[in-house]
Amino acid sequence: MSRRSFLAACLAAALCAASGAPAAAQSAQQQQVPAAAAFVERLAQRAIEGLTARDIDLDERTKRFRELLTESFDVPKIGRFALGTAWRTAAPPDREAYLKAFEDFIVATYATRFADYGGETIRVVSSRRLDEGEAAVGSVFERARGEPVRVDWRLAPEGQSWKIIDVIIEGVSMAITQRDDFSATVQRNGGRVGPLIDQLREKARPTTAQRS
Amino acid sequence: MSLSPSSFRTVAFAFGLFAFLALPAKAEMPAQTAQTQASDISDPFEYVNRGVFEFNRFLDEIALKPLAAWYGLLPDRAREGTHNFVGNLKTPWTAVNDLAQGEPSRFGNTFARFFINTFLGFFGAFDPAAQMGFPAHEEDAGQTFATWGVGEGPYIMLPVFGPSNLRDTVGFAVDSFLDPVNYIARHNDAQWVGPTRSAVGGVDARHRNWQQIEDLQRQSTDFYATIRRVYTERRRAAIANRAGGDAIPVPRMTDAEDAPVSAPRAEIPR
Repeated sequence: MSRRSFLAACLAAALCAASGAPAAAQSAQQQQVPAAAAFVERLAQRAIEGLTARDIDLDERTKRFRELLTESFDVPKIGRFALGTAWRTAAPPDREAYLKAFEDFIVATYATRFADYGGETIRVVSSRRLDEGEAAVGSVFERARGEPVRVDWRLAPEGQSWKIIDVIIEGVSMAITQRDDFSATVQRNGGRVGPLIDQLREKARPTTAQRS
Repeated sequence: MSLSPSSFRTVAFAFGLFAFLALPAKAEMPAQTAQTQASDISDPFEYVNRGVFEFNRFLDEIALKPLAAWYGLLPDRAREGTHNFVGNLKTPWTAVNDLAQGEPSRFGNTFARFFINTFLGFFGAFDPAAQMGFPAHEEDAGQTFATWGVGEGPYIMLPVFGPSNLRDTVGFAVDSFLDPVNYIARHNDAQWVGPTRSAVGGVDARHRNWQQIEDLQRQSTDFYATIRRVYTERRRAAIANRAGGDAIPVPRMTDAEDAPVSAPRAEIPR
């Protein structure tokens, strides 16, 4: 067996040598943004410390999540983006109602996910500068089981610190996905924002299963 | 499956083409459902696609989900083994596509994986190659076409097989016919091989992605639109062989800002 595996390794090594360097031949080093990377690292740490405790109830977890969310994410900006062109034509009271419903929806959707935390960690692997002072931070979400998941964070400068404006999971931007989703709902309702707000509110209502 | 296995994919493919060719349906679309277009995904057959999507969701409820749930009752090792085995059967075709894409180092990696896992990993049930520094990846004809410069074409929801686009649908047909494992099986009167591995792979994938699908559904107000975006972006990422943040989609997020309605900016989505 060991003889065979040795042969296999040799074969494999020869193949790789023949076909050029297999390892990542790093292209030109991009400009790092250590401050943004540190921001994401700190956020991940705070989320794990504060949100994953098993002895807190749903209300407490939700409260802590909302604090962390509004502090670290530019929720209104993400919300405006997610509504797409409908934002422009929406009446001011609708905008306000929508942003409120959007935040509640985000909180309800994600807060509960921290309840069944299984030792996952987030490792920041890269950062780079984007246009308009923004930064992208690359990280790997490592799970106890299953493949690691690539998560990229997009941050905009906010005073002396940052605010996250998008999360890109395995190449899929949450902001763009949400915009497609919300736009479809608005358009299916003849351009009215009301039904979308109703749906977001409905989804934000915790189910009895989550309560207990 | 009541369909004769060899014709299973072909029939489904024909259905997909039918959906694609059912162009006139667009004209009869009620105004309300006509336009939920994402800005950079072409979906002219949305009306038909949505119907197929509902059909697929029904199939998922009555067949795929129950099967995946039963599959989940197997011991972890059995599922790992199944996953690895089905994955290993894909590597010869992946290797062909690596070559066709002009990726010699990826070809070397795939080639090594196939031999290591087939001979040392009990016909692919184990994945010793990954520990030896040969990570898994998959390439298919749709991705190869993309590297040759073929565009996505219109989005297509295939019956049974789910989200696709014109390029990937053609690629899928090519995959089914030219895949070396299927090809050899067909020429040895083992017609059942292709459909069986597709079915097992489908159940395995449904089980592995169970939670992600639940989450996506829970966080969407229009599941069709969400799946359309997620499928498209996952494919784009796979085509770019994106290891990470170098090519993440970075939309300008200024487009929904409180700019006055009379002075829209250039990058406003449709």
